[in-house]
Amino acid sequence: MSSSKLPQTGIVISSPFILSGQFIGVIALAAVSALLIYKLIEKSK
Amino acid sequence: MRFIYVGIVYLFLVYIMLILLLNLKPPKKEERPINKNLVYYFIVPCVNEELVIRQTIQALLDFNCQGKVIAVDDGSYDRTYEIMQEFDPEKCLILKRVLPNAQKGKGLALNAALKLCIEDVNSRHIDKELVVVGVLDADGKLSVNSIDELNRSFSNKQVSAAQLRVKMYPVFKNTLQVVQDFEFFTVNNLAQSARTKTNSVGLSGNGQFFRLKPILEEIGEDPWGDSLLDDYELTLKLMMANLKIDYISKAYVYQEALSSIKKFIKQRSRWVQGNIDCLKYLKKILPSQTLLWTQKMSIYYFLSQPFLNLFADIYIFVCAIKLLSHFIDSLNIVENNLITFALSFLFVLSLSILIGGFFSFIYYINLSKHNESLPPWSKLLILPIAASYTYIILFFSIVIAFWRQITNQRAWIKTERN
Repeated sequence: MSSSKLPQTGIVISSPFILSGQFIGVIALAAVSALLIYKLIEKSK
Repeated sequence: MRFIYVGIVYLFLVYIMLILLLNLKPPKKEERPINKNLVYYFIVPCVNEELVIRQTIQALLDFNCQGKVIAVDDGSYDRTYEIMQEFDPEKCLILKRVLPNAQKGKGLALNAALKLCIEDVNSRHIDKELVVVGVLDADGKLSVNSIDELNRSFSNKQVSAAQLRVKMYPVFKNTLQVVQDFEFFTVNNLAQSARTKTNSVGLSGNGQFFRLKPILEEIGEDPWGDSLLDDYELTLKLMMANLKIDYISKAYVYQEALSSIKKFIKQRSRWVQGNIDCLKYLKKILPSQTLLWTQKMSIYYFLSQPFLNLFADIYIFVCAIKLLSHFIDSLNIVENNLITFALSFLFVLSLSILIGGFFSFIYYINLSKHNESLPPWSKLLILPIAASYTYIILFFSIVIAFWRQITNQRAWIKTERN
């Protein structure tokens, strides 16, 4: 159905960006965002 | 460039984490009486499938459902049609399409088959509410519990369509086939199970089923479109008509994994171009009041994939070249750079193994739980790396798809069997 069903972790970790401190920040921000969206989905059911 | 790339990484991470979170809670078990009076019509579209079609039709007839198989010969030049004629015409209806009207796309062949199905249902005076139509690839095979699980799903009258889990045949000649099995049986299963909670389950080309009545009433007699991604096109139509799509993870449909990288790139190019093609639905999706916000988010994420992947891939390649040239230039000046470079490389590699290993472990558990054959250990062990870096192969699919879309090349030959 889609071009790729793989988790695309390769794209996430392939750039030198992950060697910078910002990467930890982005992971933390993504985790908080995912949790918030998850709560919203649960609430809207 | 970097800012956009970081945004894409953020989006991918949110998506992965959300899928994992949505899979933490098992789905609610709803006990209801199982309707065993459903009548199944299996549509099997074929072009030159003489090697597999006999087993596929026989396996479907062995289920002994009240329904029938509709075998569609879409302009084959091998023995496909002759083999179809070996079966009892009362149980296996044949639709023969000849060139130049044949091979105009899977969607058109399926629509023609649906008309034959409706004629047969009318002649047998069957209640269309009880009729379930399924699509199976010519090499597809349903797991033994499929009809029981489909009966369970369609016993819920709110369910208008259902998608079976997809599994590759356990014939693993190379790692590419293991990657495809991992991709469908585990990663896609996680995504689809999460989508059941956001009402955004997607139909696949193989193993899609729908109840005839609501489809005819809400979508019409030609539900499939002429897009290269006819399955997702139908998904969008169902969502916009507010029809519920269920996902069945306990039963699955087997299909053949491609063993050649060339065929794999070609297949994925068609999917990516189909993905881009579905952008034409945006003007209906954006103002839609019927679609839930979760459905819209899922659709936007899906439709943006070719663009996000293309950008991220190019950025990574540019960075890799820059880094490498910088490293080579500075190698003579500072010897320590070699150590820094090696350490960075090891860090990225261990991260790949860690994340890829996590998903590969879930794949291993999934196979064991369903008593499915494990791939050889040598291939299983390199799966974390192979799965992480398949995107490098897929980059070529994306480029080809964009090129074909820009140059308005829409004719595609179906994926050849191994």
